[in-house]
Amino acid sequence: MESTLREVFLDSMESIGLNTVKYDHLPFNLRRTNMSYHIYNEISQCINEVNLKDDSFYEKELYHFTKGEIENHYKTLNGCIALVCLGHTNYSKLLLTYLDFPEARWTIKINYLLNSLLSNNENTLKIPSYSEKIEIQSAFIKREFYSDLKDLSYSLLNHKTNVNYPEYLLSLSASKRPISELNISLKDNNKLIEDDMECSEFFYLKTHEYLKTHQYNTFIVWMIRMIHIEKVPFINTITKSIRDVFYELQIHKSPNFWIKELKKERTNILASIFIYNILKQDRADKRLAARFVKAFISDKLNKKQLDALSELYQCNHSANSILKISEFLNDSSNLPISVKVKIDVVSPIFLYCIKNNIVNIYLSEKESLNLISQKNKGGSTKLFKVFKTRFKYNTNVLTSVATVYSEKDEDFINFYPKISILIKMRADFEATYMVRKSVQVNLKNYYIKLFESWVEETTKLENENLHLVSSEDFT
Amino acid sequence: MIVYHGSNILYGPEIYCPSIFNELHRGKDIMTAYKKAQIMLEKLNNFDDTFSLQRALDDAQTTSDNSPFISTSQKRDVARQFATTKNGQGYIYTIEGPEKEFYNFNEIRSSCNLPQHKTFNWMGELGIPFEIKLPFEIVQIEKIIEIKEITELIYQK
Repeated sequence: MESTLREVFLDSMESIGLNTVKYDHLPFNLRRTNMSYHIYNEISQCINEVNLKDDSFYEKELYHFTKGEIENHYKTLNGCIALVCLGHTNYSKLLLTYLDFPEARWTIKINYLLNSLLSNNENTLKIPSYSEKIEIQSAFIKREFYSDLKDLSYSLLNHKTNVNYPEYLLSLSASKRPISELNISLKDNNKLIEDDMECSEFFYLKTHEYLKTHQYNTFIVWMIRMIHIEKVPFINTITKSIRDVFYELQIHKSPNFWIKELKKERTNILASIFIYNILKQDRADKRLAARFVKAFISDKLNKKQLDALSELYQCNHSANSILKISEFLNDSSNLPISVKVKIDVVSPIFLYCIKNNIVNIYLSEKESLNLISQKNKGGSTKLFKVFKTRFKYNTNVLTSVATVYSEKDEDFINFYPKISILIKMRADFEATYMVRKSVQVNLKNYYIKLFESWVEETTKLENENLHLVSSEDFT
Repeated sequence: MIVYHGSNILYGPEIYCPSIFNELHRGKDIMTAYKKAQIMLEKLNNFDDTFSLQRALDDAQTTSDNSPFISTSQKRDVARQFATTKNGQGYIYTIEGPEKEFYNFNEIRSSCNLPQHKTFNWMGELGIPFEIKLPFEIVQIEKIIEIKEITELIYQK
């Protein structure tokens, strides 16, 4: 199966004009980040030109597209395939849309990849039948598209590289930008991918510098100094880059060793979460997470509390995890003050998980409606039924989040009114458009409008707050 | 040799390859559409330049709009997949023709020492140039209404 998947990946990379050989000198995570960046660069113009927002492929024939449009669609599709192969599973929603493109040949790779993501054992190269397409679309709607999908990059790319990367960097010409200090601007979302690359490179090199000479304690001190709230959005990149170094230098110190090293210094709970994510063996190393919770939060928690905080350490943003954490935070009033203080420190991680969850909710629901509104005859009614259940569940998750309150975290305080508005809007949407069995015409557009109005309302709210602050300054 | 072609539409009296069919639907005249398909076929028959040949083969197999062939296979199952993927219904055309007149993608790749296309070689694709006319002949057209799963119980707790 892996070799077929590799062929699917390589074929897509080739189709967008990228040769994977030139990335071979990079460590695993840097390779992945660099490839992703270049793929995105290659297809970004095509994505803009094909205007996927309004396109419903189901009713179209190939001759409705010009040759240029077909080429753009094919490039976009291959970019999405390559990105999904590299672990960016959120691009799977576009693949589901492309399942309905009027070119059966394109569905062979899509079908294989989507089935690999769903871990379907009987996976072969074939053109999916109409009912198989509906089944797969329905499976993705149920599973919120990407929150618990497999990261295929581990099995696709060789973990090892034969090149000594730090030496390789030194051998590069002087024109290469020196990475002295990391400057990340969180204001500019468009820069996020570049920041991701920069972050990846920076943490890799610094960690390599300390660990190749076995300066474990210096590394920990440096991590504690570096890890603060602004680094939370980059937790994935940072921890994976450092894991590359651990792998390359064959560092197999036990978790106990790292816990002890961390405890020697003034505790930074956020840093402990980062270190956990470096050490975890797979996506859900729950036992290790529990050990970290006991070591850095408290060893006097009951099972439910331990479970919830373990989810937080794992940065899980699935609906289930968010529910567990919310419930825990709502019941945390009886906890000792010393524990509460620590929980306040990790609230940026919870906020990070919530934001990821909301983005996931929006993208998956929008894409579900996109599929449903394509008039797939019997298919659309079935998909709509699944969607309604999913929609209700998502609203429940948001409601549980809205009851959590943190007095200490300003970002949290600012976020609450926004969630309340969203819940109200969703309730209105449900009452207006989702009572009937059949799908309302233009439902997808109404849904997009719902989120647009939410963004508008929340921006207004932010401006009002800003206005309040400036008035206070004057008085 | 008997081969199968699958489509979700029931064609009119003439059955053209996708590149001609699509160009006609885009409002082009038959001569222009034919010329374009001819250029594609020339590239696919240029066995001296294997680099260009591989590209032409990949293009033709990847997107039907780039193919001067009506795609067929000796495997009926492949034709059925093409026929039913759009909405569960479609047509299977059974076609007869002399073996040497088909454009055999897999065979050409191997005779020119080109790698097999990993995504498409399982189809065993055989191309009929431009349109179905003699020496090729349609011998049967079937409409697929439903695909039924036939099972035999071999174990139950």
